[in-house]
Amino acid sequence: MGTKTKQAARLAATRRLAEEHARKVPGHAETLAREREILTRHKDAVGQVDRFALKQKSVADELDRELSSLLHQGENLDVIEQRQRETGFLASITRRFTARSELLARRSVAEKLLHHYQQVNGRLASAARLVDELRLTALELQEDVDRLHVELEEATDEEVRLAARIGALEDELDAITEDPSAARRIDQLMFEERTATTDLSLWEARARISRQGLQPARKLRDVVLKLHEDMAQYVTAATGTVQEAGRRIAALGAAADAAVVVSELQSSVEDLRHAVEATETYLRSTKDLYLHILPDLTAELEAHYATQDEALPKVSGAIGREEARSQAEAALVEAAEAELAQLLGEDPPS
Amino acid sequence: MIPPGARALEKGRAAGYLGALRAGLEALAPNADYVPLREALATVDVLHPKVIGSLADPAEVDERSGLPSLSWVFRASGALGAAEPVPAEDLARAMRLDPAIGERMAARSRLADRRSAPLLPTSRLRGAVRRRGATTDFVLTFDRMTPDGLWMRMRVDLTGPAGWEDRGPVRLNPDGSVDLHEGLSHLMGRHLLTAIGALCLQLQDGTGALVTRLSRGVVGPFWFPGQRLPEGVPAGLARGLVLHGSREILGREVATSADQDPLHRMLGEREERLPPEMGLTRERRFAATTGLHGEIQRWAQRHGCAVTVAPLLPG
Repeated sequence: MGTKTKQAARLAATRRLAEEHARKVPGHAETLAREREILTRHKDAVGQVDRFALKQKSVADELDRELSSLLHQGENLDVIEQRQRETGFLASITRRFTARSELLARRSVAEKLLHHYQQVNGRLASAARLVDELRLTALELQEDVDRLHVELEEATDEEVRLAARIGALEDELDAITEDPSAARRIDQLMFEERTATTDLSLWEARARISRQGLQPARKLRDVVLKLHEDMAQYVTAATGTVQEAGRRIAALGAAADAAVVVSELQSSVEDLRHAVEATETYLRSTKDLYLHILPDLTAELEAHYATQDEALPKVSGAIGREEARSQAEAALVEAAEAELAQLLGEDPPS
Repeated sequence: MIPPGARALEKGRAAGYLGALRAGLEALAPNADYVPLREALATVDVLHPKVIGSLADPAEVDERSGLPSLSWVFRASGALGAAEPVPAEDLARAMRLDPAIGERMAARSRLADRRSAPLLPTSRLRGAVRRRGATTDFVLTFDRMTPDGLWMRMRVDLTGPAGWEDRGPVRLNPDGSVDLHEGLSHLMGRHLLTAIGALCLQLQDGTGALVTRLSRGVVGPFWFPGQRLPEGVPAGLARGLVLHGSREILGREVATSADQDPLHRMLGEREERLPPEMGLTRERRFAATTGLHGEIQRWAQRHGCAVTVAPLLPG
């Protein structure tokens, strides 16, 4: 192979390496955009969690109201039944006068129960829809967490690689720094060291962004997961009791005999009471979410937004060898700490 | 959990079952004494897995009537009421993240398109004025799904002296619309199974008017392979599809009482006392797969009834 061919091949290889390098190292604008994207995602997610929490509360409130109406109707029937059982003279006289109005009033109870039962089914369907939406959001947030992990891993690997490269460059520079014939090589090495140091800064910034994004992303995911778990559990329990009560309520329509009606109703009212209790417990348990979890999460994120500029690398001006060396060492320490944290299952230090 | 009195359809059988029921309803072509056909068909269509997916599962039929169980219909109407349109990008996101949730969201979206579909009501009383003159006449229709899943309509023709429309539980508004006392629908709801003569007297007591005609039309039961038939019915009738439409008419225009309902006669139920000057007819019509027509006719004849059987051709 001739000298010209060799030179051309070397140039081509250098160009290819430079292109690959340019593609891989995240640019300053790209890093900034990614950080903004993560922050926007978090802001959106907090808003979404807020909306979910409100929706969840409203669904549970409505269900509570309908179930209470069902219970109330059941109790009405008991009162009318009790009055019918009264056999005194006064009662029989009163009954004669009020027969028509009571005939119409008494018979309204079973129909009202049926109507409310239908409403409750609608509310349960809304609650089931919310359970699905919560599950999807939790899955999406888990994807975000996963993506941040991948990005952090990639950035840490690059930090380690570049730190090692800077170390090697430093060693070579130390060895030839006094050699007057090595001026060209020294220039090449110093150029390479500065490039590597800049890249290292960018990767460090990217790692820091991923690391800082991880905690709120994970927290958001956990809040939504908790909402999902609670709501799913609650809907399953309420559906069971409401369906059982509904079977009895539906049967009331055909039971003309008052004794049968009342006995059936007692059981369905008991079922509904369980469902109401479950709703009330559930509503109490969500109070913590509104009073503490969501406000704390919002405050944390706001504090994070306020420091977003600090996360970006300062890459202006010349970088001295001393600075490059210390940056490389810091990167290696940081990578080691991150690896250790991962092994211990802790949050990586930010 | 399947409530007692209901049984789950085997997986994948709901579509075929609903297709057969739909064909039966179209063949039966119930008239105004029955629940509206349009609403019955819309209900069957909404229950179809291609529309509602798994949102109203389990698909279950009432063991006695063979029609969709009340709880299945309740779940479906709850899902219909809660349905909202789902944007395409949300649907794609759901399909990517969790296909099962994606399917449910797609079903909600399909249901949202049908929210205006008139389903059979669980319970509904409507009234209309028919005549104003020396008397004021109203017709009331009470549509109800019975606890055993039958689809029932009570139709009441009421007449009273001019002026009663301003005093009684049926009130006529100046614009011709009718307001009904809430207790009336509840009165009728409580007497789904009461003998029709006694029901007539209750209605007269409750409204203070005269009942001139009272009908009770019932769609169902629906017999199909695997469905339990009442004792005494030829077992062969479970080889195909049989949808019943039965009607009782109590009226002043019914000159001769007649019972052409083989199921009623087979059960040997005691004849009831009728209000004075009223006659009662009972009839039962069928929509059945062609192979069963002869057997149905023979069974009806054995009980002294002449019945009509329309061909049921499942699509």
